[in-house]
Amino acid sequence: MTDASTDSRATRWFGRVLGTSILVVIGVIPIVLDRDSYPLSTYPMFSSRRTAVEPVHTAVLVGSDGEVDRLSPTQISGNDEVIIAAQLVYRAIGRDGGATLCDDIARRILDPRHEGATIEIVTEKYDAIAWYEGRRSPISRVVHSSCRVPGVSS
Amino acid sequence: MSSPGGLVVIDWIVRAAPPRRLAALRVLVGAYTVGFMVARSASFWQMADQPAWQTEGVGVLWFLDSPWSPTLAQSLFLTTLLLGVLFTLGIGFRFVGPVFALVFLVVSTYRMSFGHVIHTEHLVALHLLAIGFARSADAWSVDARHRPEPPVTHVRYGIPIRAMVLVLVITYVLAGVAKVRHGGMNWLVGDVLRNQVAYDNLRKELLGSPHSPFGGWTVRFEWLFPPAAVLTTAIEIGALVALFSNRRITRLWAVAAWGFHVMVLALMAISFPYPLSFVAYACLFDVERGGEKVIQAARRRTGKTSDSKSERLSAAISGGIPPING
Repeated sequence: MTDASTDSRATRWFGRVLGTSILVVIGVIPIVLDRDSYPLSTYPMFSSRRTAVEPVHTAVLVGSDGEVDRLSPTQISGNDEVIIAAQLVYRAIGRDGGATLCDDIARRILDPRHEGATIEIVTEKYDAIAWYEGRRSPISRVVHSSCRVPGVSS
Repeated sequence: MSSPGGLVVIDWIVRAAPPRRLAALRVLVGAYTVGFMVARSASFWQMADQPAWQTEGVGVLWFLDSPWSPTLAQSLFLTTLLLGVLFTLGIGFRFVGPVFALVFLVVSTYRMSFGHVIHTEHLVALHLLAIGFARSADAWSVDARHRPEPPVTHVRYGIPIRAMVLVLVITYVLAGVAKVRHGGMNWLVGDVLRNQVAYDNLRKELLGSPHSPFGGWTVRFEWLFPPAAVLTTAIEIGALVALFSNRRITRLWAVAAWGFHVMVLALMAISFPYPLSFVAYACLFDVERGGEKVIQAARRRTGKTSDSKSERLSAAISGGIPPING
């Protein structure tokens, strides 16, 4: 038996083991565990039975004149990923009604322009299809917590 | 080469390829990863400021229950960037290859460990492992500059490429299976996709984030979505053609999958940059040919001849193992 054929046979078996391992670890285990993780995943993006009316958990800035401004993901979570911001608000509501997050946001957006405004941690429900057909009234709106943006000097 | 029946499918992974093809993939995937990290540096950097209560370790950092110090997180990010440059150039690759693949896995896992797993880095992390642990710098690398390039195609270069293809296919098939599994037939023929597009755009609007006005406009047309859902699932599960079909069909699938990601971007303002860059599908192509053309053009300009001896030897047969796409 030559070195080349030994090498080829060993490599062939290595390939078989590798291929089987990839199939099992990346393809089968995530399905069996039904768990989304990283780097192994079931890739569940957009797969849920989404309806048109779903809650959106977010944080808004209510000015002293009552005008509502949407806060950006970076203002809400300190990160520009929208999904991370949405998940953060959801978890914060479950944790303490969003009170801690409210204070975090207030510190994050500290700015003389926002002085005296109020931050609200809210769950809003809209009909998403109706929204894009021009009917933009909320079906429900729950304020979980609110806090005032402190003065810059405080 | 024949195999016992049960091993035929597994033997699919054992194919020879030229060292330049794996090297080209190293350059493409390495450069993509460095570019991605630079483009998303703010997100990686900002993770250092996340509150402790939000920490929820996943994957290799399953044990994480509090954030790293900003110094550690940001030093690791910069180290990963530097390793990525060395990886792409093929410098000290025996060490840098596996280390970069593993460190990128850790750094990107850390980014996912704050309450939500984003699905933009899974495939590139797995591809880096396939490239990093292989002999991907035997050609077109600083390491290989002063040693002769391996002249023949070999399974040691083909197996990592086939591993990349297998991982690519599995990720798409799993995504397709998840839609049928969780959404049921309603995902295919009902309003689920339309609701997904509407809800996702609305959530972005309510969270003060860029959204897709085009996607918002399309949800008015209910009839568009059942065929789009069927097509989406067909493309995802249809990834299997990359395993068993000829090159032309495989490449058609790659273009279709890329088009699917373009539509996701257009309808939902959701970017999957790895497939959108097309680098994710590079393992389905003879990518070394593009590099060879660039090098030949450069040589013509500088008056240098090609390394024809090496190229002639490259045509040699590699122990009876058929080359990839051959």
